[in-house]
Amino acid sequence: MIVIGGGVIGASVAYYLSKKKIGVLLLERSDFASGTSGACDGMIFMQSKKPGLHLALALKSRRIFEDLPEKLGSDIELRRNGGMIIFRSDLELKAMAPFMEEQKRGNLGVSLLDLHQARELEPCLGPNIAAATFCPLDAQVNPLCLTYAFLKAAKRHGAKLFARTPVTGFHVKGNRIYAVVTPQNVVATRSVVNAAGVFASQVGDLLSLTIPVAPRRGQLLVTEVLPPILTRCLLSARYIAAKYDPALAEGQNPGFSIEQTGNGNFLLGSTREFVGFDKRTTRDAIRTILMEVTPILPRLKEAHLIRTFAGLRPYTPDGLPILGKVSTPEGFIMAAGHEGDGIALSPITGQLIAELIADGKTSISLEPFSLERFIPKEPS
Amino acid sequence: MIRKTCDVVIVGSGFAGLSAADILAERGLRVLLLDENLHLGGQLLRSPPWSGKRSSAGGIMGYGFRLIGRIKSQPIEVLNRTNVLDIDERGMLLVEREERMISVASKMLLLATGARERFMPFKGWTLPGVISTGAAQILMKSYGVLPSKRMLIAGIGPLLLAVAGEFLKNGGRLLSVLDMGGAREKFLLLTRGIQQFSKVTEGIVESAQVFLARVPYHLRTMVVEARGGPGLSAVVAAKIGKDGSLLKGTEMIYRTDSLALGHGFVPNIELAQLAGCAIDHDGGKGGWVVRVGEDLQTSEDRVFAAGEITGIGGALKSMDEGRLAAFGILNKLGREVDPKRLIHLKRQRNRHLRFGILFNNLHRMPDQAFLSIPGEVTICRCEDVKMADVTRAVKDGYDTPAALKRALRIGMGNCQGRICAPLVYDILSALKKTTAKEFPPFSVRSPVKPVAIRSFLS
Repeated sequence: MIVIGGGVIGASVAYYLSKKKIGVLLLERSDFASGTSGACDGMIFMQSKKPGLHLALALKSRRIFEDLPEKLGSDIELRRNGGMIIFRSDLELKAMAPFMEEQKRGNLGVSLLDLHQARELEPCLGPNIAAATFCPLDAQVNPLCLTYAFLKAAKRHGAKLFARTPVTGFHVKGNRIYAVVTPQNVVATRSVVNAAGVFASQVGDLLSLTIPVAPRRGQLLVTEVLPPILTRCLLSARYIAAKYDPALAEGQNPGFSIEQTGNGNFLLGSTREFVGFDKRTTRDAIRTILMEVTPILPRLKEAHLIRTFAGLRPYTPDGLPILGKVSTPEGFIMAAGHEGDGIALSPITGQLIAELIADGKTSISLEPFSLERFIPKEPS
Repeated sequence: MIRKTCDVVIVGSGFAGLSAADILAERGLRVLLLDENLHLGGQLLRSPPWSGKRSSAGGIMGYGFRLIGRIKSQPIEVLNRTNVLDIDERGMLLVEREERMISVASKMLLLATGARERFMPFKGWTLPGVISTGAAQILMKSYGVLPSKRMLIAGIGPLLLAVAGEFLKNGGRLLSVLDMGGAREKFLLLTRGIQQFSKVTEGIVESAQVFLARVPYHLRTMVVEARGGPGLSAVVAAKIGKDGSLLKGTEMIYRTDSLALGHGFVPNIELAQLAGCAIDHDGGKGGWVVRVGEDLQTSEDRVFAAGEITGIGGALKSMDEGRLAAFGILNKLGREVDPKRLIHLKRQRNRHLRFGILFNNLHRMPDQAFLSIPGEVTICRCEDVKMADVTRAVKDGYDTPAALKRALRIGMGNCQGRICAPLVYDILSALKKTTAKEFPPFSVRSPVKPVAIRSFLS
């Protein structure tokens, strides 16, 4: 088995495969966790997932997280404190009502809080919010630690990991992949998992396969270390809405995310922009994010900004990842396109892909996640 | 947000920035001079406000102080205490001053951001009482304060003697000067640096002061450990071999509450990187430097760089580069420049550059010195990363600056790697037996230095 991509998804796939005693070779074009997984926040949010398939997948993943630190044998800074969605106005509350109505069927245990109740949970919240919802299942993790923990555990189970080893081509015979080409080697293999994240479509190009994954930039700000003042991650209602409605994202304010990391720094986000592979940050975005988050958490006005960075999220047109076998060529399996959900969905993705390869069937049907969903159906 | 426009904006008011500003303003250009300090003059031109001797000082320092006087009488807009946060692709600067943002648009940009100090860590180097020679100089030159009445000076190179001279002049009791370098380097510097007459004589004057005060000057000696708690109380030093390895049994103990360290300088290239300027690695120039042509233009069309950021070389080099950059900018703006003066300046600048390279090469710390840093020694002060963590991570395959940063959080703290980054590059190249050229440095993002969030909101 060859896994392309040393981000959180590739690492998880390698881990679950090697746990099933399948020999894995993981090839990473640059350094491990050097792409999206090394430039993101660590939120594992359930409330932000679209009710239905997406949420079901996320919930399953969330359950795996429960004993993941023990299984991986590393500290991944998992904190199970729940998360809050912040509504700035009644208008936002109204706009999100159908989403929340559907969510109720997901058994998330979401409760709607007024300002007073929200500030009881998080005393540092400012007075300018209309309402909040709380979900005890939301959690957070250190994405770098998580990726490295998957890699380390995979290595322990016999997986071989190679950094700075890009895949430059495939050997296909008939309709079947039988080797992967790197600048140093040609490696024979029966199947390949494309976990190349934002580069998934470039890997597809090598096989003349159209994979609609595009980089979508998210800028994040880092503050100096502050004393622990925020227990739960915060997301704005608008930020969620923006994911499913690009028109909202392109507007002035795509919403915000606020997280205090285990280390004490605040991670403040974010944007959703299509600017190719440009990872620079912009002064407009920095200002917009700060204007958004400071009324929510006024304490931040007293803090210093120490860094900004941007990550590229692997966007797909319908907001769902692309998972499972492609119809052609045989032996090519997709595990990419998680946009901002890669961290949250990494355990379940790895598990499902390992099931698919080892057992030939999966505990959740991967059909709705297939690449083929993007191929326009021929009129019969 | 306040908006400003000018012909040329200069970042940094050390010798390079001042020299350029002087020429540009004389030619009638609207110059905006930015500096992060309270006073003009950068790291070298410091004097207590009550000192009357500034312009009467001799040599290059006197020239520098007179230059500051001239700048003040020219129609140059000076903004002190500014923090340049960002330079965008159009060359627009984002500047923070007194918690307000200023956006600066200019036809040309000159970066003269100077250098910062390099450190060679040892056990206990983070104890209170261990300071840099630069900090000691600031205390003495800007505030007329001695770091302590008794002090030990350690590091590498003849600049230690300059600090020693200043300390003695101010009435301090100097225990010893410990230099990792040997006699051979001093001799080569004296003989080959003979054209750099003023520098060599300065060096002789300083050494004479130290010797006249009967201060022991130990060559091939380095600090092994600083002891104490909470503050510094003693320093252990030992002799080193030619390859930088410690010679057992040569340990000496000094009782002191103050230790000043000087291990050379690192160019401040971060703003240039943000502006998109190409950089090169050259150990002889002090590590990663901004790439410039003969007219001091960077790889970016309207961005020039002068002084220590193009290569560590001292005040004379900075001064000539500031002038050359000014002429480069004038030329670019279609103004006339005297070609004879240009030829002369270029020749002079190249001489200073060569001296700088000789100097830096003679005072480079050997790989072995980095390899023998004990495991328990702190490398990244902000995130408390130890040498053992670094060696383990490198062994595990995290063997680039970026990979180490993600694996260990090294360089992720408040200083964003300004202190540990050069050290990480040196340790990595020593461990991997290659040159630091092989490793791309840490990526740079705005803000280059921490900034109050409040400043964005006004």
